[in-house]
Amino acid sequence: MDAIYQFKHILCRIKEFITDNGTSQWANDIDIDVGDETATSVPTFYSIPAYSELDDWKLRLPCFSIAALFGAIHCAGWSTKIHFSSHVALLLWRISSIVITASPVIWSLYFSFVYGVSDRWSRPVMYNYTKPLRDTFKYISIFTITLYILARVILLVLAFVELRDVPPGALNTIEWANVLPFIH
Amino acid sequence: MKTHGFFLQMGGFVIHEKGRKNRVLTLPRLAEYYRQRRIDVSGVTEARINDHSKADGFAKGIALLQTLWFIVQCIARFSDGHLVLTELELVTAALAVLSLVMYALWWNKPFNAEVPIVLTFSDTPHTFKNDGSDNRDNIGVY
Repeated sequence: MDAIYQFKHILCRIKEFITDNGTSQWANDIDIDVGDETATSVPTFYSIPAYSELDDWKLRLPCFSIAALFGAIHCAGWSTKIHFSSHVALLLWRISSIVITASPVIWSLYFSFVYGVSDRWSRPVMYNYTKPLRDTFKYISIFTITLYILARVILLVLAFVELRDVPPGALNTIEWANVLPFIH
Repeated sequence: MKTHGFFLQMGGFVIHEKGRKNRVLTLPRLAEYYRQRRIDVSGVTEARINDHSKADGFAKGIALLQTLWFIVQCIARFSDGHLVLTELELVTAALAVLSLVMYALWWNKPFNAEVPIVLTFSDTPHTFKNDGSDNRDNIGVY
């Protein structure tokens, strides 16, 4: 029962993409759920809904930027300095790292676009006019969520699998690392 | 105030109402009861919330130093001509950078709080001294 409860909240985060205006409306429903008599604790992915679309947007941009930074670090695999046991592994790593860097950028563009044409402060004409474009953007975003999950799994598995064949240099430590007294 | 916000978001406040089971207090409900003067939050100080936390600034500082040290080593290995940075180290370094951001954002968040603070719903509205210190209208948009 608890697992279902937790899973519902992960879905809730994904559902924000599917709703038309990109706000966390579903989170509001769940907020009532939490106030329910049976709830004595909040689920892991619970969050207090933002006050406005602007707040939602202001929360998402930094989150996605950090996610892109996280992906960008993985892109160090593009350097010849990182050793791969096979060409397939190298390709997988390079493609996956690009996917996890680009996806958050796409999502932030999507949410910025949705916020930009929001009917709250522009004319409804504008909102309706951009519907096909918004939908296309939305489906691309949903598609990239799947790609993102896949890429993250690939990177994690590769990180361990690649340990079967490491060059000798990986076993040495930095010369000056032992000079500093430190608790490891 | 940040600590209070984190603790509320974590479900750290529970409301006790006569004849009902204790429930998690959400922000709209807290604001509502507070405005109706049904709950007394004057005893909920930052020190009291932090007492529920299993890590203080010192413990967090040590963990932060270790994380930073790992990142420094990874950068050194990557830029050194003879040493090799493995993929596992790269993934860990990326996660370490993420955790640095988390440390910065969650510095005031109580760590591993297990016991909630119970607020009692009073049947009659509380009376507060009107000495000008009462800023209940500032609680938020709700």
